[in-house]
Amino acid sequence: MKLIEKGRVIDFRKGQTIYKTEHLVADQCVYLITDGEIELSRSYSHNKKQAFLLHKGALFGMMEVVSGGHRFTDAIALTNAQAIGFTKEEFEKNVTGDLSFALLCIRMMSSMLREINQRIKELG
Amino acid sequence: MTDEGYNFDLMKFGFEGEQALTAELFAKYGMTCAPRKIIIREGDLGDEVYLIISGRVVVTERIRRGSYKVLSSLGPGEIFGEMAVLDSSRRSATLIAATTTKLLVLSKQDFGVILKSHPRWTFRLLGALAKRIHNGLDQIGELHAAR
Repeated sequence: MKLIEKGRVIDFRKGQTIYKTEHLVADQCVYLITDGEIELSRSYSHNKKQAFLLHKGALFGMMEVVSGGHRFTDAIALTNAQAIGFTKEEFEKNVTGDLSFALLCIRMMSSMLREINQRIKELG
Repeated sequence: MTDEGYNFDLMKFGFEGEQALTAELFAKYGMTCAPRKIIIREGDLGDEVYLIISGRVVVTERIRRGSYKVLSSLGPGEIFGEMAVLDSSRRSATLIAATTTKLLVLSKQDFGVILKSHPRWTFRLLGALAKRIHNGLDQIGELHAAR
């Protein structure tokens, strides 16, 4: 995968909150994990929580960029981690200019949707 | 119409969008589904992607023989079936036509032609997936609250 826009390297320490649900999408808004583990989670009433574990090679933060508005989940570094951060413009240029990057984005979101649908079935 | 493997009609459709949908293109790639027709069955291997031209499709989970629970619904302009095509896995849900529905049925190769033709398709698909993820997370909250 050859990125059109390289972004910038960002380090996260273990336990660091990267963003929270209801935060407005800001700069450095899409991340490609290069090392470590990141957890995306949504908390509900009665101490219920849904969590999704992401590893090296995974993208996160893009759902809200394509839909606009607030973050859907919290994002927390479960370990010391490193990611490449892209602004919205950089992300869109990569999606437009590199089909393999576009397919990675589609694959990531499809995989998360599949997992969510499975959890809905188990709860229903 | 093809020339050395290039499908110019499909590329034109990809570049210009639904306004470029011709009768010939629909004759080649289109499918009309009557209400209650099962389009995709959970567990099947999938090698086709679907674009809804008109009508409505429901995403369902099979409860028992002949009985399905609706998880969500999709309308014109939405794409489905992309997951199994991208990762060669089995279909994760059963999709049923809720109304008379016109679809374009695209192979993995043809879907690639569409994606390459204009970035709107990638952003449209990503936007649709983001919306379905958001709705799914909200739905999980409702299920937790109902327990």
